[in-house]
Amino acid sequence: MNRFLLVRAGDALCALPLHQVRRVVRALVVHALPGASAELLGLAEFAGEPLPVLELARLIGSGGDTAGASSVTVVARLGRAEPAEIVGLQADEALEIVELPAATVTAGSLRGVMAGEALALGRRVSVLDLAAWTATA
Amino acid sequence: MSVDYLLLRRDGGLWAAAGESVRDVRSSNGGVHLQLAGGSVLDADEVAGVARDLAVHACGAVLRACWHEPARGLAIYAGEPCVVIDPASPPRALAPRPGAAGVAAPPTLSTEEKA
Repeated sequence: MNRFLLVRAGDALCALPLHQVRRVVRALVVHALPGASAELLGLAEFAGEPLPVLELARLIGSGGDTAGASSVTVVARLGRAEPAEIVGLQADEALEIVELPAATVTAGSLRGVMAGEALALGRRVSVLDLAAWTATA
Repeated sequence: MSVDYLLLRRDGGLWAAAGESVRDVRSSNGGVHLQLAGGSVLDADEVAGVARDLAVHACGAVLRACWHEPARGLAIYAGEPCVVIDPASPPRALAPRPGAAGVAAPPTLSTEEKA
């Protein structure tokens, strides 16, 4: 059984593999990086280290432009190796942890960071895979 | 071997240049104008500080996928993230402002004079 953290980003629900989630914290202060693509909000400080922070809504192609409105930063790790690269995801709220059997995750409209779609809490959610995204980006 | 870094702020962003790569710093048009060892010139709004031995972290895959400027890495200075400049290829965000080069005011700090 695969466990996921459900996160809301605007109108969209996303499921992040729990093994990729390191921590959920109050939205970090982000410093813009000139020349960055739209989904990269900038850099923040986390645990004494620089952290690239992405806007989750933009990452999944669900709009975005909610600068300043995000209430949480999900600190996620890419891959299982140590030390793993970490990244921040600005989102509106972290909802709960759910179990999504692999068989219930369908290909859906795959793009970018999305690994598939599933149903959770009675809604369609985007299942994310950050590690796969960076491997192909 | 310790390395000193000059911290620069421009348009709110924080940048770090290794002291050994900075040949000259002058005030210019209300900001600062830097000349690097390789001949590159930079403009910044202010010198935000000097740091010794910043812990420089490599730019990871996510940053590289979303930001294509050259850099030596990232660091934290006084709790704020900064980009460590590659002196051989400075970021466009620090490019000299139009008309700024060559109109420098008298020097305020010269790393060569300090040495």
